[in-house]
Amino acid sequence: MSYWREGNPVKDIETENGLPQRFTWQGRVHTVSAIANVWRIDDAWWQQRVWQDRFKLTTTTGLLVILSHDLLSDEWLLIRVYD
Amino acid sequence: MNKDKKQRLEEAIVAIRREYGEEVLRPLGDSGAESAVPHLSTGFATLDRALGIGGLPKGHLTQLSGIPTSGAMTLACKVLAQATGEAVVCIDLSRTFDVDYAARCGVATDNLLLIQPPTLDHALETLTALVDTAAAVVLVMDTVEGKRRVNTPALKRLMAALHRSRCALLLVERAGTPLLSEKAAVRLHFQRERWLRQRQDVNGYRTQVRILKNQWGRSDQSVRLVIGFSTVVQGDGA
Amino acid sequence: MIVCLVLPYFATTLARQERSVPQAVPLILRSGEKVAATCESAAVREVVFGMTIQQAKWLCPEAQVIPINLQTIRQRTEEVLHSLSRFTHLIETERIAAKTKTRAAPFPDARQSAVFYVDLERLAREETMPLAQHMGVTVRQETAFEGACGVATTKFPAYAAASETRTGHVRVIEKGEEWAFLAALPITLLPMKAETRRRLLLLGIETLGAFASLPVAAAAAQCGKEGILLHQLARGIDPRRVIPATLQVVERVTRAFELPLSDGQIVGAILRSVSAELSARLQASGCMGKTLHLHLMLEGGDSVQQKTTLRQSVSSSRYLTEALLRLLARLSISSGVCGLVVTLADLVPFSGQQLELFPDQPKPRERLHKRLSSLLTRPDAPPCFWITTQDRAARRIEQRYGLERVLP
Repeated sequence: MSYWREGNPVKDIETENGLPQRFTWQGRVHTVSAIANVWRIDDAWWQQRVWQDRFKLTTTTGLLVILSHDLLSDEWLLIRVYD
Repeated sequence: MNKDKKQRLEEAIVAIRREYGEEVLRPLGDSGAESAVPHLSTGFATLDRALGIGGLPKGHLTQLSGIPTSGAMTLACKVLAQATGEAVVCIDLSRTFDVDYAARCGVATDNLLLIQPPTLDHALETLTALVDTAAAVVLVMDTVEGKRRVNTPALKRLMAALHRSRCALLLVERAGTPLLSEKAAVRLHFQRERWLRQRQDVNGYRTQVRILKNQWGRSDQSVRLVIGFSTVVQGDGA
Repeated sequence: MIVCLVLPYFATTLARQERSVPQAVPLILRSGEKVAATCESAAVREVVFGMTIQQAKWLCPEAQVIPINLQTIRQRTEEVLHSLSRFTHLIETERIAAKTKTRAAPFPDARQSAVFYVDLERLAREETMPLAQHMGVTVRQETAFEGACGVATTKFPAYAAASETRTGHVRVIEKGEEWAFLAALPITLLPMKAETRRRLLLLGIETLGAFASLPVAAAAAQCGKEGILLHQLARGIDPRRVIPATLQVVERVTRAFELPLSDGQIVGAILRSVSAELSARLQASGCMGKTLHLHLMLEGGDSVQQKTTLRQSVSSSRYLTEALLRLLARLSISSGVCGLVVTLADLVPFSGQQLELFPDQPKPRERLHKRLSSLLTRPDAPPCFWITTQDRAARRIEQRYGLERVLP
């Protein structure tokens, strides 16, 4: 299990209806094979709002990961790789 | 064991034998069934059996390899969890150690020290200083580190300290580093076979572990392990 | 989903393998002068458990009669458990007693089967079917026993499905279809006393459907207390959970609570009393154990569990309590606790009194810290951290644990 507290940037994200389809991470293109779970985080807004969609998904490269989509900054980050 | 303790132990043994007879005290592991090689269980009974000695050896290096999401890190965490009541160390070169997941695998986080050295050389040096105080150490390397050259004298010093200790050293890496692989007494390779789903969600996977090398038993065997997240991970990411 | 693996005529199949008795020769196992188990062909000739060997010989003269060996039966059941344990540890099977009892057959079901229940928890139905097949194949390859599998959401329908399926096959009962499937099956599938069975057959109740259509009160009146459970089972409702078996000799303490407990401290206090009981039993039997397993049943049918392998075998109540409390702390408990099972396995005989020889030994963390302090004074010292727990149940991963920098 690998985990990035601040998130690890992913690039060239392609989405369809808001769902990630393909992304580049650590120099490699990963195609989403299935989205296993989606949940939204919206809390602590009295300090600083955290508003994110999180996607637990499998890729054709064999990974099971959690991607986070920051809905305020429209930034995509990888936060966990299951191992 | 220092001299004082040793003397106290011997005195206690003599006193007990005088009181209760010669047979009451036997060295541990003397019962026959116990394996002769000091080891830590992997937490997976099938793998423990396949390994022959009942787990992963103490005082030696074990290499766990496989791409991410194949189970190498889960196994490392399970081994850390077996060292109850003792200190364990994780040397996290990639700075991605997942404390939450480790805790859910049963690792006692109170006794877990996390070290994030900048380079592999630093890691080897730190390890050499610490192996005899910890029950188990996991060294996590990512691909980039693996490509770097290993400092041979530093590695030799580490192996010497390790063999004197009772510490199980586990190396988790994505691509094998030849010099380290050569030093490993046990080498396991992980390959995920299939996802286990609960409706749409993935709540685990089945993985195949191949025993590539085993100093004490048969190699070229493989066992299947089921890694279930529903029991170890809940809430975010479940 | 629950998979039930049924291995019919287990005792005689095993004896046949061990003694190389040809398939054509009927086989009867005896305990003293009474029949303890039979093969299928002897059963067809109405040789039953408890009958004298003389009677059995009269019914089935060509049968070979050999003494039953419970020790081997027990070992071979463990082998099957071992094979199944690669799928999950949630496996239940009847424990084989060390001595044959005069009243109870070692395998009481209609086909004298060894029955194994495997709880795959929330595994999806489409995953369960191939896994069940795989289990059957694994058991056959590793133990040479061939059985049938039934799959359902609860135990009894899974058992009925396995019993009604050809050897080497898997049968799945869909959720909601249990009752329709069970209705036409014989009541002999129910786990009941011989007396109850006789009584029901006398009343002309032969199928589960007929039994299920009786009012509960009538079932209770005819069969006593067990009637209520039997009636539920016949209707396809099975409240029984899979109680995991352990592979070796174990000590187990079970507690059930009338009202679910939501206070962790009370659960902790109960664990102390469980430790005391466990310790007393261990002292009485002169044993120590190494693997400790804590299983909590929660409201709403869920359950959570944790296990640990202790560094040394123990029997003292204090060590057991400490280990159990550590296990409890690791569990995330989402609802009230209705019951708990504590199991201590890997039992070994005492190898002497357990002594605290080094009571003043520093704690592991302090030892490590001491060693670190010399390392940390160097200018290029790597960053080291202890883990702090913030809120282990927090919804966001990043809020659960923190890192505390170790300073020289």
